[in-house]
Amino acid sequence: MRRSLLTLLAVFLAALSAAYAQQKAAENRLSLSLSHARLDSLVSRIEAQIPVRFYYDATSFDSLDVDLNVSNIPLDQLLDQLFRNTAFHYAIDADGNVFLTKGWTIQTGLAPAVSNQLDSARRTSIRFGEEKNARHKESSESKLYDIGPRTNTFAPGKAVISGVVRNARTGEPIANVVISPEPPGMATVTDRYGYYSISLPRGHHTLNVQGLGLRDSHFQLMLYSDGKMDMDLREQVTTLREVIVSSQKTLNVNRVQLGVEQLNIQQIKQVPTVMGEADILRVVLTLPGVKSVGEASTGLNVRGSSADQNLILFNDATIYNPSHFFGFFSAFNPEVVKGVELYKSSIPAQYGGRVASVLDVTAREGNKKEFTGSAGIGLLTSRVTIEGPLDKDKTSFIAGGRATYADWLLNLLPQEYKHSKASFSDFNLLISHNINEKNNLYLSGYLSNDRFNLNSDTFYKYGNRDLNIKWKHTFSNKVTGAYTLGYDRYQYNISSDGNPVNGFKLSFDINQFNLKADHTWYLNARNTVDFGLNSIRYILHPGNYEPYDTSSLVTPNKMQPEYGQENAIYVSDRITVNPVFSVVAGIRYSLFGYLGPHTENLYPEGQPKTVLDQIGTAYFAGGKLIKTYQGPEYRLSARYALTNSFSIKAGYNSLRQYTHMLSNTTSMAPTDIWKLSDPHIRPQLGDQLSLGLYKNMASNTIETSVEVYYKHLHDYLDYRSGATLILNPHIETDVLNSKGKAYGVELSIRKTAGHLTGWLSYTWSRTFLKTDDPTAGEIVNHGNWYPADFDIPNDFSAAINYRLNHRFSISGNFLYYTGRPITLPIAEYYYANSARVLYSDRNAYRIPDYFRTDLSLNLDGNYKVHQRTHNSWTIGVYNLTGRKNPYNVYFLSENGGINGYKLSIFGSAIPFINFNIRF
Amino acid sequence: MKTGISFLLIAIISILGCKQSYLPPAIANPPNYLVVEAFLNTNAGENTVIRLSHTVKLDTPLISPEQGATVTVEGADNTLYKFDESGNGAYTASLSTLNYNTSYRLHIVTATGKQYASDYFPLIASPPIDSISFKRMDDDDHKGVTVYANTHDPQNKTRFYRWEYEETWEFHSAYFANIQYVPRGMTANYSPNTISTCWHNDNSTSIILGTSTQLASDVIHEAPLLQIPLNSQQISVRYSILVKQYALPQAAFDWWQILQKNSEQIGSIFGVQPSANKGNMHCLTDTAEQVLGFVSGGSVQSLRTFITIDQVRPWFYDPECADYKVPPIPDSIAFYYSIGYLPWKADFNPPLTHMAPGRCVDCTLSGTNQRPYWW
Repeated sequence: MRRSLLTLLAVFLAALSAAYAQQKAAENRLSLSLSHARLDSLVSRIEAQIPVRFYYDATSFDSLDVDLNVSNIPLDQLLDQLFRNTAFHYAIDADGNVFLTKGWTIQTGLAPAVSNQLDSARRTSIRFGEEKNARHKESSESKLYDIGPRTNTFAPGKAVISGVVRNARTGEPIANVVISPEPPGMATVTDRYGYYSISLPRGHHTLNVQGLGLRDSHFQLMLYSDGKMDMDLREQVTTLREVIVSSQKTLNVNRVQLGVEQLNIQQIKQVPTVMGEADILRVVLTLPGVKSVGEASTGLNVRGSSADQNLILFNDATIYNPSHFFGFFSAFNPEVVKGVELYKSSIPAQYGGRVASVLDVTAREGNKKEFTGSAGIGLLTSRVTIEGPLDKDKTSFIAGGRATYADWLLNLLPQEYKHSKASFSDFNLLISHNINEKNNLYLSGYLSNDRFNLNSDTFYKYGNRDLNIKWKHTFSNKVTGAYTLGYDRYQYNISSDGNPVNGFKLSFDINQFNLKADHTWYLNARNTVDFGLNSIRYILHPGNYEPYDTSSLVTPNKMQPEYGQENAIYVSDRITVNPVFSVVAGIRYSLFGYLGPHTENLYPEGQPKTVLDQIGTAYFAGGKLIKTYQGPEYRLSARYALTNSFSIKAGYNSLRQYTHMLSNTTSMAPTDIWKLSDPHIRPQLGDQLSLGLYKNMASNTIETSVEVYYKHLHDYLDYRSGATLILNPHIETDVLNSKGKAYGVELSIRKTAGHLTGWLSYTWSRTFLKTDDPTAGEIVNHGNWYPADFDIPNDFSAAINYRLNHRFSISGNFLYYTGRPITLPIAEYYYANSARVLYSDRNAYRIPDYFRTDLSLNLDGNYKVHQRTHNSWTIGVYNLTGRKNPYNVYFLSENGGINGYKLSIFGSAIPFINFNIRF
Repeated sequence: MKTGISFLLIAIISILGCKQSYLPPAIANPPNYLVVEAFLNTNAGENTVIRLSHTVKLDTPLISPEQGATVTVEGADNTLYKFDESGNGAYTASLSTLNYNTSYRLHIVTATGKQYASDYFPLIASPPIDSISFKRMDDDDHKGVTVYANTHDPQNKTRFYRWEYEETWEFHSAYFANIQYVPRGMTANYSPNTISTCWHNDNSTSIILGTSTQLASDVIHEAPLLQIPLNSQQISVRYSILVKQYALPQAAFDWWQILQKNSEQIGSIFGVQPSANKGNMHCLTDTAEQVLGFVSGGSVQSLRTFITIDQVRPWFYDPECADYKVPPIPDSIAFYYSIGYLPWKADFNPPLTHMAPGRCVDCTLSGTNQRPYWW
């Protein structure tokens, strides 16, 4: 098609000198009346009246509905009228030849007077200078799409376009793609299923489509009425050509929410991590406002939260323990992960149940077009992923598995550790099925297992099990719904058979059944309403302690199971007041019921709860409400765009948390247990006020932001000295209610394109706790505010990738942060034949500051498309400077004396190598 | 089980981690709190010795004793028992007549006039120790001999136990000396040789606790007391351990457990934090002042067990002693003597004096040659 047109073009270039004649042909006047006619009949009528000859591709015009009633007008006026608001164009040459085209215009001359007449907004022309670029674009981009039945006039008002944005290579839907019309303003963003809906005035539009890791695309469309338009986009990484960054990556500036961090798997994989395993949580830890108490911990502390205050979702499944191998690795297989979103401040109303943040990890959908796979070999784990269509373009699956062989590492240890074992594995499966245009089904499963024993007869096992099914239904192009039914479980077992009399088995599990209904209603151009409900049924077995075998004297101790029901409804409106000002206003109302059967301990009012003061028990039958807690949660944020690339945002959020992790260690331990709110343990409440400035520079390739926040926490859980958390039938006597406050400033610079990409972030923040309730029986640090374990005032991190060429890149990580607070000895004394230390007030001192640099070289195999496998290598060094970063400082009474120790987890430079193969 | 965890963590640390010694920042004005270490021993014929001291600045090896205090035990039945100061912060009394049907408290008035008192507490009699057992283990985890305490309370009442032990072992110097150096020259044999057979004494320095709360009956089966490393000097001849068993009220047990966690089981990768540990002593003069220690009382049960090398063989104790043959020139011998070597045998053909590090010849350098009366 294009070639023949170019030939045509060449022919007419020869006749340029006769351009004036065009005028003449057009001057012949015409009169005709046609109703719902086809172009053919119009052409024959015109040719009958005046000496012109029409050339056109009849198939391009078969849908044109001719509705004309003219008298005595020139041909060009008639054609102008006919083609107004359409993609059709015409050209008349000196010899009376009329060329009708769709989407572009044949230029029959270079006369400036003529080209000035052309309405450039209405006509998209191919000029010679643009030819080179234009060819690089998606073939679909030079096409003009008609939305709705074509007419030569546009009805007034707006129409809605909706559709799904997909990856052109794999057919996988893409979330968070920004679709903005030109001029920019009322942009929309695809949801997690790649779905978008945008309301625009009828007429001609150019849509700019941008997404993380995608080539920028432009779609021309003629909007006649409501309609559907799916877009297939190409990934940026697959191209060998220089990437031309021409327009806006404006999501951070345009999005209304604050404190949202988004990473895709390509970005995650570029960051060097210990042992070379791409690790989602460790990369999240380099983002501003996210900290961890140390290297052996993947527990996240987001803006001064404790690790259990973050909702970690993996394809809608709640992951209670997101770590493997004592916290050294995160539980997410990088090969099946598509991307991560972290909500630190503006938490969408559809999420709830935790007071600090939501970390939403999404898995990829399998390739709908062909079978592919990948395998990786690292020092500690190996992984295999297979994906492909089960029914081409309809159903696909992706399955991924990882397993360790960490035992070899333990075998390098001295003889006395010979009986140690540590291993983990995880398995993911996602099946997505496209029933029809309006219905999609997704089945997602996750399974993780960890087991270890070191140096003892005690074996530890823990794991997550998650399964959910989701039905996504498009009611109309304005209303979509997603319905999820899921089951999540976290469990652990400890068993010991060393001493036959004391041999035991201990198990814990928390189960939740989820029902979620989420809807989006693209009400009009100004309002997008999200509404829905969540319902979670909790069944918790807080501990089952039983003899290991018959020789054990252990008394079985089975803690009463706990039951709870958490229901919430929410509605939230994304209001675009005008292109520069928009608001998200949401409310979520949550209700938690602690249910029977359960026997509750009763205590006198208004005094510390102690076992001795217990005044009795009360039995509640099955299903009976023992205690309810409820309340509204507000989610507000607003954005004001000062310029196209500069916006200011503010937000207020409140959240409620009904499940609590009981832990008296600084970092998450695999033996921590969870507890539901009950008559004695109130839900945790948090609220946060935040303000941010966002500015993009250098054609939006550099994104900068400053965010400030202030946060309050109520009924944060602390514990009495020497509290027993496991198998404690009156845990309420060991729990103290604390208050918390956190505030900080986060600065971030991110470069998204070019040879050098990556981000720098600096956070100054403080987190304080206070335990001063006189009725709690114990106050900490005289009832004053004291720094929390994760109070890290200065935190600088950088993750940088420099691409030397298409196959070779260098990545670097630089981290510096203040040492976390610890409790240090201030004096010593002699007791029980040994010197012992007296400790300061809680967290009165700090461990030395942390600094680390990692470097890795990423080498990709060649880019030939037609080869069986694509390989890549990653070689690097973790902690390049070998700095012995202290993780913990502690003092032991040994052989009668006191010894102080500084413990570093990775106390030297650790080289690693990783090999990946894609097939 | 918590112990299991910390054990595990220490093991992990040794895999991946790196442990260095650390000196805390110097504290200018360390607190000077009274430390009360007291268990009221009701055993007939045994004295109760309590120790009063103060907290001191870190890294000062000195114990700062509280001297000149007036210490009494006050019964809820208005009985009063006075302690006598026996020096260096120790105070002694005979409390065998305390009544198990009442409760007692410790009362202290320091030389500066400050008053301290404990809460009233009941006395708890300890059931007898059933046995002290031991096992030689050759698995990699516990190479050596582990010594255990076994006890039970037929009334299922005691539940909380604490143990202390005193170890004594006989050992022989590596070289049996038949010559002796006196500053002016070599002299005759030891007659009799009193420096080749000695006894070494040690006390437990760590806190050993046990509880049967999770068991159907009050039975303590093989609560580990200590591990004797394989081929160590302890069982090179004959070894003896005297175990003392204290029964504790739960509050005291909890206090000891926190003390144990804070001072002996801290430092895991999960970062267990030290916790505040409030004992049952209070300052009456200044209620805000902290007092360290937990006072309890009752009977003390003891049991002694012997282990001889024959019971644990193969057991090869290597004293790591090298023998130096020194020409019998007074200057040479004097030189070696000055750096801690002792002569033990003289050869005449060729004339050479055998010398070895002092500890290899004279066992009194690391023990006593007084045979314990019960040995």
